[in-house]
Amino acid sequence: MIKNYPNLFKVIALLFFLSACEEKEEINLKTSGVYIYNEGSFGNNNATIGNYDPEINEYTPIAFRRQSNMSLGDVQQNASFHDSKIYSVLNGSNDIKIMDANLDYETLIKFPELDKPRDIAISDDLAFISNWGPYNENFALTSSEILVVELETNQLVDRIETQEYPEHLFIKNNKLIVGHASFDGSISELSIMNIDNLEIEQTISVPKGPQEIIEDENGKIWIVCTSGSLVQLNSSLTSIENQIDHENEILGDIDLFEMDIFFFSNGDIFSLNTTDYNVTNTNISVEMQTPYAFGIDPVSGDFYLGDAVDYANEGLVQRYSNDGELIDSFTAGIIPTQFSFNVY
Amino acid sequence: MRLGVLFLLLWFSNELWAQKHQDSITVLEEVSVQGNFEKQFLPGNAIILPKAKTLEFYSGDNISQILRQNSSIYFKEYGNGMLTTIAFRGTNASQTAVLWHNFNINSFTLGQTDFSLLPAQAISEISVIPGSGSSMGGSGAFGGAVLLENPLSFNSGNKLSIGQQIGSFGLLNSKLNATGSNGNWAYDTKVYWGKAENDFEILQTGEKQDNASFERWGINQSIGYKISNTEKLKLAVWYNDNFREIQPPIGSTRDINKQTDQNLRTHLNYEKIGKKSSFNIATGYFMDEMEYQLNQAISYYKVDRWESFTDYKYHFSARHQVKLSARYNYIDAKNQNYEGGRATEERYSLGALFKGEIWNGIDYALHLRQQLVPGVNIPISPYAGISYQLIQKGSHRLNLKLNSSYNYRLPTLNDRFWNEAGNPELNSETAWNKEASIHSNHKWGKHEAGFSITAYHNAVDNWIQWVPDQNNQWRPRNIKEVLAKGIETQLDIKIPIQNEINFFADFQYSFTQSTVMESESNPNEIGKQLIYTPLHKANVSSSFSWKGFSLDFYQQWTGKVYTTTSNSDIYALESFLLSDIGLKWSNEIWTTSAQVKNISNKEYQLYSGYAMPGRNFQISINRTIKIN
Repeated sequence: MIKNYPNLFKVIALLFFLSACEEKEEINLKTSGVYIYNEGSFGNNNATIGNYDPEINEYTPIAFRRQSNMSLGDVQQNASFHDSKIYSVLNGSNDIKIMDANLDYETLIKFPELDKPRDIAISDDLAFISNWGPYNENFALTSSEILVVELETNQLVDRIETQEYPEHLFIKNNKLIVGHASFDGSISELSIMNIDNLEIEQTISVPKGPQEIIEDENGKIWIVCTSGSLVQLNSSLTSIENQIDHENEILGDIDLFEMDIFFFSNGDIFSLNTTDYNVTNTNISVEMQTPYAFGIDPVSGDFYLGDAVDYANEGLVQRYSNDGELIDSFTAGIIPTQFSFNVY
Repeated sequence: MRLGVLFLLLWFSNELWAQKHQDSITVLEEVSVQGNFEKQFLPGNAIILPKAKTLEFYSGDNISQILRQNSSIYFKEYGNGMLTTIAFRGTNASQTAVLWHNFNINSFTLGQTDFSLLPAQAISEISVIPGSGSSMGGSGAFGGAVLLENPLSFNSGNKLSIGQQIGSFGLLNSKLNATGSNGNWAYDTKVYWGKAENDFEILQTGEKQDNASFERWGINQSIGYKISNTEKLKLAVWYNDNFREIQPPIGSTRDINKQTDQNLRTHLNYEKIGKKSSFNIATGYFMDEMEYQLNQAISYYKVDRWESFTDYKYHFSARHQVKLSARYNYIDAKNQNYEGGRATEERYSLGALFKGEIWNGIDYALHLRQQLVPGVNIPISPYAGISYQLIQKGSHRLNLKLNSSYNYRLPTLNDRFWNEAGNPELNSETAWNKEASIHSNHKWGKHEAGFSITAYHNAVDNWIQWVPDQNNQWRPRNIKEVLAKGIETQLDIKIPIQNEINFFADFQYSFTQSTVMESESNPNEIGKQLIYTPLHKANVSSSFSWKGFSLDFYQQWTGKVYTTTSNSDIYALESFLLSDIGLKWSNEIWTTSAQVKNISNKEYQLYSGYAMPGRNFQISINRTIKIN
């Protein structure tokens, strides 16, 4: 899950400014739209970004295609948001499309070394891309890398060899956190790379299936492991500080709302308090054929859950209020994989 | 079982030896070694024979181009010259049988044919049996059967023909054909080679298509020997070698992604014809080898097959005949994805076919076929067909044809033996087809017209589909029921305009409604049209000819195609009209032609995400040398 915060930042800045002037004014934040990123079927070039209006419960299925008058590409693996821009990582197309917050296409990152990209993280004018690289004789990976791209030119400026199967990325304190997760679970670890010298300083073993990496309100880094654990790193990113083992597998997509981390496991939504580490079942049960995406509206706290169904047809999205009421259920694109929230 | 088949063969042969002194001239005309005897037992079916002009126009293409122009068939094409699979009468690619000289040449791993591996240059005759008459093709002919043949003639002069075609995107095609006979020998040789850079402009993006080149060559050699007036031998060998880069989806790039295919098809036929009977025995070896490479990763399979069949046909009265047939197939597939890297299977089938004339103008056929494969539940497959000549007055004829049959399709080797996913206990798919057609032919002086309309209803049950199980492991299951029904119409006219100027036109329209009736895995697809099956399709072929010149137009209109089982318009492929034009001049020695394909530069896709070329050009020259 990612959140589109530029407007939020502006509003917060405005709040600070207003409070300094001692003319306090009530401003209600609103989520104007929810972008739903749909992976699409491999080889069909049908990845899409749709827009959901939570006020009128209306979904516009091919918002990017309509706005930019072009197809997005093949297999949207991840999308990242930075500096009012969306970076859509297209694993099948082997490129990263860059668009503004209104889904107007701007440019793309593409060069021959970009081979099965998985995720992108940005720090100032540099982008870091987890790149699977080519298959060996047995369809295994042997030369995965972190590719460093200069965003002014979108050209490759450096390549760092890394453990295979790099997946999710996160930047914290000038360090790039890279999750590595092979399908069979034989590789389950994190690499911590120093962005200044591009050296991998640390590798940390974690339970099977490390996926999304988030930062909580206390500035602590959490990684969800699909085998059923939530792992908290210490502040210096050198080791695991806390590990919460859940009774069941956890969906690899987690989100934060206020002081709690929420996750989806075995049909229920759970919360993890980041202060006392208590896990609570919200008693919100959601029936899905193929749970695939999870996100929380940062303003309303509404839960959004993406169901990939049979991977070949449009998936379903269900929206629940924070207290468990089903607000809406609608057809999204093929394999809904991620949500982002436009707040103003 | 093998002993049983052997006994059957010996029994047939003994019966024939007993007749060897009998005169056989009348029957000789009816059956030849290579003849389409399968068709003769199908009075209730409309059989499509593509026009010679169409065969020639698309001779540098794959046979899919010819079939597409001459029938309701839709082809899914994963890019230009790439994997091409058939969708016929609302069925999937595994549900149409492709036979070469009565041997099924569908891939036994996937169960379907990649038509990009069937260049038109390799084949002399193509015919299509839509629907259930194709049960004679054995397993899997729900949509129909495509019959490919390279017939021999013992009475023809020797002819050598050399041709060269060049075209847009680096297209080069060379061919050498030699046919003829000499005393008791007859031969037909086809040697072909072709390549294309295939770097056409992607109309959607303006970029050049990358990683889509292909190159192929092959030889199709048939040799016949007339042992006596009643006995013939035929040996046929077809080797095809195809290399291609795998065209990526629009906007995508690939590092190394390519595929090579090698196909060797050989068979030896012996035929003996008696006054009231004929005996045919054939045995063949078939090899399909494929190597697919993505980066350094390689997928490889090789399937060796030994297949034999025999037919014995007997006229038990002046108007009725029976054909008994037996077939044996041994399959040895090496595939790294099978448990232990290998799967073997033996298949047997027995058939009894009756055909005759009930009354003047009323022909019938009855078939019974039973295939046996250890571990697979296969029903008996009956067929009944009738043809009734309603009107015959001078040069006006009106025929009514009816047929119905119950057919089956065996699970493929992948369905049964894929490591940790295949299910050896899968049932065969079944289909109950009913069909009626009216055909009329008329002649007024030199004007000719023909019209036909066919309606069919085909209920397919136990449809096999790979779906994820509770552990997200994809497995094949018998889970769906599909009803395919439709109408196919055809009108052709031939009109002499002035002295030596002739006009010919052929119009076809098809309505294909293929609906999912039941689905265990996805209730949302119930009532929806099958994917990659256009509801409407129309073709027009027309030609003006004057002396040695011919101006030919070909148009195909393909309706909207859904690519998701939910029938979402968002992911559907839009309808499109393709137009090709060609000018040809020929005399007894030379033939030259120039063609423009997709003259309106229409952007279209035959499979979601894969570009097809816009306007493109080809010129050809051909020289024929007659010897004798």
